[in-house]
Amino acid sequence: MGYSDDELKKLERALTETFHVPVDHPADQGEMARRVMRTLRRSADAGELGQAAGIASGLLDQFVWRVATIAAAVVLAVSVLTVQVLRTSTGESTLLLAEEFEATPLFGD
Amino acid sequence: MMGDCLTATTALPWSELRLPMADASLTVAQTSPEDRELLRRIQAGNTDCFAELISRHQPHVVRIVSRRVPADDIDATVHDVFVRAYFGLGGFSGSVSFDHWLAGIAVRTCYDFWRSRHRAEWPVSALTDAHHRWIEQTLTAASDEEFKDHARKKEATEVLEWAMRQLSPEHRTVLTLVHLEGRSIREAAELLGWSTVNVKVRAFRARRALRGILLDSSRGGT
Repeated sequence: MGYSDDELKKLERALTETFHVPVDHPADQGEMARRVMRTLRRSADAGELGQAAGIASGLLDQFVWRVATIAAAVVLAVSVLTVQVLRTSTGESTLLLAEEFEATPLFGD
Repeated sequence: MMGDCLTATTALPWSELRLPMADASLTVAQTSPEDRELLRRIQAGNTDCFAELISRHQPHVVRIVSRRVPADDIDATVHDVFVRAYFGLGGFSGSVSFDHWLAGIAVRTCYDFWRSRHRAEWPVSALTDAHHRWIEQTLTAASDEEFKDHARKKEATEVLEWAMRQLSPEHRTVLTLVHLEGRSIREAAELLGWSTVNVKVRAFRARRALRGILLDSSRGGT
């Protein structure tokens, strides 16, 4: 058998009450501060050693992004030029069409 | 030595720093002058002052963490919260109180704790007869006093933990913030750094999932 909606709500309310029952956790403030500061000092020491590697890695990242940007720009330019050349070769250029009109005498001149 | 960190009082340019998740319209208490002074000194290079910040805010962080992770993991999680806070100090905005900012870090650290545990496939044991008896007694409680007495029993904590362990880390985190702690969707979103829509949807689904788990238990499920 399942619970009714009212029973479910009552159960949820009971669990909410349970959640708010204070949790007793003995906390040694000085010890926690010492532990955290020890970790931070260790990280700082490791950080000094790894700083050079970090800088190199940052420069490498920058280099990769720049090369990728330039490559993308070149590909775009080549694509645009290719399209232009193809249009010209198939006679779709509006410029060529205009020249053709100009070259052709109108009204039997 | 650490007490010396609070002797000077200097006006600070906190408006220069902005926390990405900070919402200017949120009416949260401002950072206390003592905390500001300690933070200024830490930023000036006197990192030992962070120990005093830890001492000032440890009870607050322990209160948040102890309701979210198992008792054996409270100390390690609180430690992680302060380490994360130290490395995140550059992103702290004075527009919200340091307590509030720290609460966000604590909530997210607990969320990460459950994410790592979830991946490890933590087994969920079945409810015992004592737990089923507790549920029956709670449902038939005659008075509010009796109801509250039941809520304080050891079995109640175990049933709550049993149900929560079956939820995903996301559902667990949102359910705790919105349904158990009674925070608004907006406040929960701000603490988690998620969108309000995301929190709203997850809060709805989390509650539905919890009700499903409780219903299954009544049918003799896990």
